[in-house]
Amino acid sequence: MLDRAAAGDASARARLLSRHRQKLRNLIALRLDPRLAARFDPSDVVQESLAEADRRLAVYLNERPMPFYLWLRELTLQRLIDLHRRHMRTQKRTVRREEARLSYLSDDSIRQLGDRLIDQASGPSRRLENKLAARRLHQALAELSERDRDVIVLRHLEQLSVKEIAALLEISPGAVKVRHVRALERLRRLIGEEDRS
Amino acid sequence: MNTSLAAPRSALDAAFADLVEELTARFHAGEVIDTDEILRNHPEHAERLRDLLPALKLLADLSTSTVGSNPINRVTTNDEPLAGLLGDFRLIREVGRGGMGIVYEAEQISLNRRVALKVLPFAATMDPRPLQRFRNEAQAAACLHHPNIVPVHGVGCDRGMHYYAMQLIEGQTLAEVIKNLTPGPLPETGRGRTIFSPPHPLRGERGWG
Repeated sequence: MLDRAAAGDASARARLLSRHRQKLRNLIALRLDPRLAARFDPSDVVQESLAEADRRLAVYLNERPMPFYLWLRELTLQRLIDLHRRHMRTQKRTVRREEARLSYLSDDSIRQLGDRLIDQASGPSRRLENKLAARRLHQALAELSERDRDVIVLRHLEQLSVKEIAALLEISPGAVKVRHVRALERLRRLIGEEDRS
Repeated sequence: MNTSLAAPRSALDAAFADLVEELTARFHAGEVIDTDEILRNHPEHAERLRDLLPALKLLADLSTSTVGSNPINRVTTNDEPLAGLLGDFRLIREVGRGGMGIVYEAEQISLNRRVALKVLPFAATMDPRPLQRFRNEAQAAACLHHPNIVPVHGVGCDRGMHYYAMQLIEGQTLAEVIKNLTPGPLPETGRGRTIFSPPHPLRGERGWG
């Protein structure tokens, strides 16, 4: 599809840009600051980044510096960072600090994440159980090191493939899997500690 | 058990990491996994895995409730013909068709609202001219803000199908209005407009060319 788009096939180009829409939307929904969520729809952020991707596609196809989805992801995250910077001036420093983070997930959004997951839990019988589980999980996620949290967020919340994560972290797929296991084991211990306390 | 203990720790680690990855992928795909069976089949990893499974399952459950359970993810990447879902929209029923496309009543999933979705027939996208006209139409309508012009919410393309979403307006089609016309002066609508204000998205900007 990349090659067909590069060769000037308009429908391949359109499909290429739209096939990751939902994934990108989740990417933004996970991270959009709750204070901005009332004013901005994640779909709009995605729409703008896809328009930008469309403009820059020729350059990308020429150079192909990284896998296509990761390129889209980067453009989209950059949009989000710009949006946060424009609309949350008072917290400029916070935003700038977070910019360095690969997964760009603020502590606030992690806190929100648990609540959002609870809202989407299906059926009232599972609610309480999920609520407790989600609370424990996001407390534990907040306590994880950035390195561990990144791999969990990328693999589970964004559902990137091992190959994509490997390209993003610039390590081998094997190393991604091992890092994932280590992060899970530490997460498990953190959840376990809360059980006892 | 003895042979696996003899294996170098790094190789064991890598095998365990592969197993965890395999389970992660299966959890994400929504598979129901018999954990006892997995533990039986991999005695060399059973202890570590037993410790890890609850956390893994929790993460997978919670993340699929936000990501994986959304059927859009699975549909958008293949080439099936129009099958109920188009990008962010779930098609509910066809409300009419014309030379430039078919209009559906649809639900915009992310915003949970009803919209009118105009879809360019797939065959028409093979030719760049109707596609360009379709885009022009959507862009032109989106530039206009007038109570008598149906607002355009957005334009998109999914699996090669081009569409744009408009506000859904309940009411009669222009054809129905004309059919119901009694001889005499043009009837007035509640808002004091004549019937030449668009009563339905179908009429949209097509009425003006």
